[in-house]
Parts: sequence; C-alpha cells; structure tokens
Amino acid sequence: MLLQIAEPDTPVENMRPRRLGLGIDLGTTNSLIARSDGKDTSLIAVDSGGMLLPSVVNYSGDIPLVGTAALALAVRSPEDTVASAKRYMGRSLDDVPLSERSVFSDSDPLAFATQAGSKTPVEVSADLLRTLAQSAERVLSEKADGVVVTVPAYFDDSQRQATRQAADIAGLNVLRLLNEPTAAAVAYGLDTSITESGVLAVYDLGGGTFDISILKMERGLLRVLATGGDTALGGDDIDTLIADWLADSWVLDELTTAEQRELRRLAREAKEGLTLADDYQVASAVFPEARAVTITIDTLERIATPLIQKTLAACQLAVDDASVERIDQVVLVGGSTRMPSVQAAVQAFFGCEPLCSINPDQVVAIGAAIQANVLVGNGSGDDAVLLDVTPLSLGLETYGGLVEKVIPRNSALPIAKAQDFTTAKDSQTGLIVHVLQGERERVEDCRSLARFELSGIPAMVAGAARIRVSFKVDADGLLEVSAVEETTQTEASLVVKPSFGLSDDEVADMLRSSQEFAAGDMTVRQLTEARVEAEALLDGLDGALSADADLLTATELDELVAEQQRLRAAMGTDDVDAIRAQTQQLGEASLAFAERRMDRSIKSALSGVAIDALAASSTD
Amino acid sequence: MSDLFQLFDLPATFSIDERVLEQRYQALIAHCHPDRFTAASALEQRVAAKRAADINDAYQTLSHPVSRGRYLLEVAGVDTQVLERQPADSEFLFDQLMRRERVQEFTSLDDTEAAELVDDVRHQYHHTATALGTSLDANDVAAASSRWVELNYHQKLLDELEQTLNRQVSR
Repeated sequence: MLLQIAEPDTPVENMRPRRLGLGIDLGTTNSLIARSDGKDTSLIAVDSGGMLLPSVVNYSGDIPLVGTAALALAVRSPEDTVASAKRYMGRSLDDVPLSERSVFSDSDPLAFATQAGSKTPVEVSADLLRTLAQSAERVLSEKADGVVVTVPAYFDDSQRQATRQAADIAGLNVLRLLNEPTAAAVAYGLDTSITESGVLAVYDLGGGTFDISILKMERGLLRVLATGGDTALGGDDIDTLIADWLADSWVLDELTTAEQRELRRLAREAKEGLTLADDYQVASAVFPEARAVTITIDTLERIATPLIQKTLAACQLAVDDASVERIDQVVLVGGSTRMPSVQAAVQAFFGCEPLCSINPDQVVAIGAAIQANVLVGNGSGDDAVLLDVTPLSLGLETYGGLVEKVIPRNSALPIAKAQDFTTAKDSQTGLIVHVLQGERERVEDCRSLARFELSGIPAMVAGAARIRVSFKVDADGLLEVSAVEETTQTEASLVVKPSFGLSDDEVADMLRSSQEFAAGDMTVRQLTEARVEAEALLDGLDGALSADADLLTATELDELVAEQQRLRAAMGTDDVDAIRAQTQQLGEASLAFAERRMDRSIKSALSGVAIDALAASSTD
Repeated sequence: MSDLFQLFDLPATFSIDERVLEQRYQALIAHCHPDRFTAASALEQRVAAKRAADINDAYQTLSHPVSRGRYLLEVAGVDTQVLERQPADSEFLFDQLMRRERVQEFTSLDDTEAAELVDDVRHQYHHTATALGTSLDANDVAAASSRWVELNYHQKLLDELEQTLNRQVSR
C-alpha cells in the first residue's frame, strides 16, 4: 500500500476568494485573450471583429486606435498604422533588414515613425495588451489579478525583457511569460495526460510566420528540445498564391490597389471554403467580365505544395536538432493548419495523427488562460509544474574575443550560476563584464545583451583579484548579472535589459503618463499594494508559526512576534513608507525561519519519494 | 562549497543511481518551483526561487558524469580549469585521433564497421566513467584526474557520433 504524505504547508485554497487570471496570446498578426475557471475556458470577444484582435495600432489621432478600427484606417493613413510590431521586439535598427527600414525613425531605440511621434515596438505592444486586458475586464465586470503572456519559444532574453516591459507599461501584473508551444500543449492537457514521458511537436503556421517546436514532457516537467521555422512564411503567402491563380484564370493584369485587395479577399474566402468542401466557386462584382471559376481542393493542394514542403524541411531540421527517435504527439496551431492538405502533410511527415480538436487560432490563448488560473492561486496544488529551459546559452566575453559559457542552453529554470575570473594585468582596477547569448565561440557570432563595468578594484598583482560573476535567470527566462571582487567585496550588478530597449526610468515615465494612473490614483494604488504585501507576509507568517514554531528558539519566536505587532501597528496608519519599511524589516527578520521551513518541506518531499520507491520495489 | 549530493539525500560518491537522482530531482523541483508560490508573500517567493535555482544547478552538475566528476575533483581540491589546459597522455591522444577519423568518415563505413565503431566509442566512454568512479572512491586523486580528462575527450567524440547517427536515422 502507498502511504500518502500530506505536505505540512499546503495552503488552504478554499478559504481564499477566487482570483481572476487571464491568458494573452500576443501574436504577430492577431492577439487574443481568454479566461479559465479550471473547468471551462473561453475566449473573450474584445474587438468588433470577434475573438481575434488584429495586432495593429493606428496613431493618427489623439488616442491610439487598436484592432479592426486601426485596420480600417490603414488604407487612409498607412504610415501611422503599425502592424507586426512583435517582429521587432527587443531589436535594434542594425537587426532590421534594409528593405524594412523605411517605417522606422533613423535612430535607436528602434521606433516606428508616426504622426503621434516615435513609437517603439514595446509601446505598440503595450497598447495592444492594454486594450486586450481592459476590454476583457469590461466584459467580465471584474479586475484581473494577473496575466500570463505567451512568447515564441525561440525568443531570446532581449525579446522576453521587451515583452515584460510592454506588460509593465500596460499596467498588468505578469504571472509568467509562457512559451507558445508549451501553452498549446497545456490547452490539450498534455502536461497532465502524459504521465511518464513523451515527445511533442508543435506545428504553428500563422498568417505571416511558421514555427516548429519539439518539446519533451516528463512527468509534468517540460522542456523545449529544439525550435525552428521561417519568420517570413505563413498563410498570407497561400492567399497570394491563390490570388495569382485567380488573376491567371481571369487573365487580369495591371490591377489597381483596390482590385488587388479584392482579389486577396476572394483568395482568403476560397481557402476557407475549401476547408469544408472539395470545391469552391469564386465570382466577384468587382470583376464583372470575369466568369465564375471553380477552384478544387486538388488545385489548392498543387498551389500550396511548395510552401508546405518548405515547412516540412524546417520540421526536419528541428527534429535533427532535437536528436529524438520519434514524435508521440503533434499539436496544430495557427489558422492555416485548418487546410486539409496541411493536416495530411503533417500527419505523413510525423507519422501520427495531429491534434486539432481545439480551434487552432485560439489554442495558445486557451493554454495561457489555464496556466494563468493556476498561477493566480486557484490551482489544486497537484497541477503539473511547467519547467521551461533557456533557449540559448548565456556567457561572458573573455580574452581573445572568445565566449565563456556560464549557463548552457536547455538549462532548467530558474537557475543561478557563478564563474570566477581574475585580473590579467598588474594594478588593473576595472573589468568590463560583457554578457552574451548564443552557441558560437566567438563574440561577434553571439548576441550582445549587456555590458557593464566593475570598477574600484584595489590595485593588486595580476591574478590576485578574485572576481565572481553570477548569472541568475528567473522562471520567465529573464537574466540578472552581478560581479563581485571577493577579497574586497567591490560590487556591480544589473538586470539585463534589451540593448536598445527602454531604461527603467523611461518605463516609469510611461507608467506615470498613461491615463490609468492619475496622481491621486497612484497614491491610493501604492497604499493598497503596500497593504496587500504586508498582509500576505503576516498571514503567511501566522500559518508558518502555527505549523513550524518548533524550528525557532524562544528568543527568535519572541522577536518575530514583536516585529509582527510593529507591522500591524504601521498598517493602522495610511503611511505608505512606514508600512513598506516594517514589511521589509519583518521580511528580513523571518528570512532564516522561511529558509528552515523550506528545508523541512524539502525533506518531507524527499521522504515521499523514498516511500514511493520502496512501495514500487515491493510490488515488483 | 555546500554538498550538492546532500540536497538529494544521496551519498557523495561518483557511482550514484542516476534514476534515483532524477526521481528525487523531479519531486524537489515540483515542490520548490516559483509557480507553486505565485500567491505567497514576496519573502516566501524569494526563498523558493533561490532553492529552486540551487536544485536545478545541483541536478545539472550531478546528472552528467563529466560534470559530476568535475565537482567531486573540485571537492578533493583539484583545480579542474588547470587540469583542462594540461595535455593528455600522448598514447591516449593518438588512439583518440584514430577514433575521431573513423567517426568523421562514418557515412562511408559498411554496416558491420559502423556497428563496431559505435560499440567501441560507447564502450570506451562507459569504461572510462567506471574507472573514474573507482579512482574517486579510492581517493586516488591523480588517477581520477587523468580519467576525468580522458572522459572529456570520450564525451566529445560520443556527442559527435550521436549527431551523425541521428542524421542517418532521420534521413
């Protein structure tokens, strides 16, 4: 028989009111928002067009217009209408191909030039996120306590930081940045249904991009083994091919812009019609002399085959890179995967029937919503933990322009690692810490994330200084680097920001200037936040004391109780600073206690495994 | 340096049961992961994140023979960075050079030759790993250092071979 060991600190979930967590799929072409209560998950209609909010913002007026409204203005003021901002998140002007530079101002930070001034991709994304969250809150008549925002698995640190900044500017509390393929797997419940281990492929053919990810799931621990794709390949290309075919059939040339648009609309309709039937009739009042033509599924397949083959070639590369023997499940994401010829090709390639029962446009947002509901605190406690990994190695520049890897790619997050360095010259008083991301050995082949200087090292002979550089990556994949000269405790550190992103001050300015936080509101908000944090600490400590007071000496216990009373007294006032100061003090006073409790709970988690192992071997 | 093995309640030896390590790792990380503490106070979140990072780091170090060996050598007082820069035994290097050439011409080998090469590379790797364990257990730091340097070479060759094999299977 198996013994059940209850964890001493399992929170009593039922006593807490339900909180609202929202899942956001911030896409290149369209964005979506969804909510889940643990049983049912649903999309929230936030745009006149329905569930999909076109990821387009128009800056021609006083206030930015978002979604279908912006799309409608795109014809009239294309230069003030920003689309596909996601492609440029965390990027600098140098990263942008020359052919795409015309829409940007000519200086860094990279920003779209509009009538309302320069708009960085981060600000555009913030406008999208704000619209999504505010509209959802209006529909639900409820404030969100937190959100999960999805990002492509291949997003590097700069791109993740930029996404996080956009959410901060939009005033959202981000519970987690979640990889899109991981979210799709969660939507299908694969994080809990795969009890032992399995390899998944997530095939994501969107409007303008194609992504393939190979994931390995092991008892709720999930890692991304490989990613690949093509950032300039998508369903829109299929529309173009169909439009060309129509123009050929009707012997049209010299089309006006309006006629081209009409042709693309017809092409899209035909593509969608052919997901339900084997042939589709196309006719248009715009081209009266053109007779109605019938496009068959075979024709579409012939037209689309070269494009589908390109996606399969990318799949092959990803499978090779992942070094896996077989794929157990394939998940389809993106509207273009509705095409029967895509589904058939994917099935033939991977040798298993793809999962497509959930709307492929919505599956990522649904997974994000399910995870948001768990992370916001409504989970049952036995939900699977989604363990993400670093997509690329993180390292430092060393002598000779070489990169020393500190955290290898595919490391499970969170992780912290340190590396020791020393000075190369006598009386060297400074050291440049150059942080890089990538797999190659030379600095110029990797992506530069940040550079900072550790100065004030006392003069010593070469090799005498002990400089410890520490890398910390949190569960979202965001990096913090610090350097300490250990013999003298000289310190320098920074949170790595996208090289050409916004500084903390700029983010704070935007927060302040956004209409959300008028001066009065700001004070109220700060007071509320300080109280919530203080209460969380007090409640947590009460629970901890009733469970584990035996870990403290009598003196330590008295001290903690006294600090608790001091914080309670401060909370009786409206003094934000006093509440914060006392919260900080109680936090420091109870740190050792919290660590001891963590160690005790770790021991009990281990003894649970030991008993499992015993039980397993006795039943063999 | 705190004892990484202790985190998993395992004896500090090279020859641990990797399956038990993995089981315990999974139990621990599921317990401490920051996702379990999103509704907790900032203090508890910090403590949990720190422990989760320790556990991930310790598992990464202990789960691979090369890094586990490095850790145990460091505990025994060996500077492995210095060790890595020292040349390996010339006879060993020559043997390794021959094997590497065979691996590079893998695609031109016939089936029997290919199977023999795969067996040979895997055998050398496991043999060296076992020898490293024996030396470490016997506190023979000099022998353990040499075996560890050799294991590094075997690991690199094995990685190269596995890559070649994977490309063959998927074509």
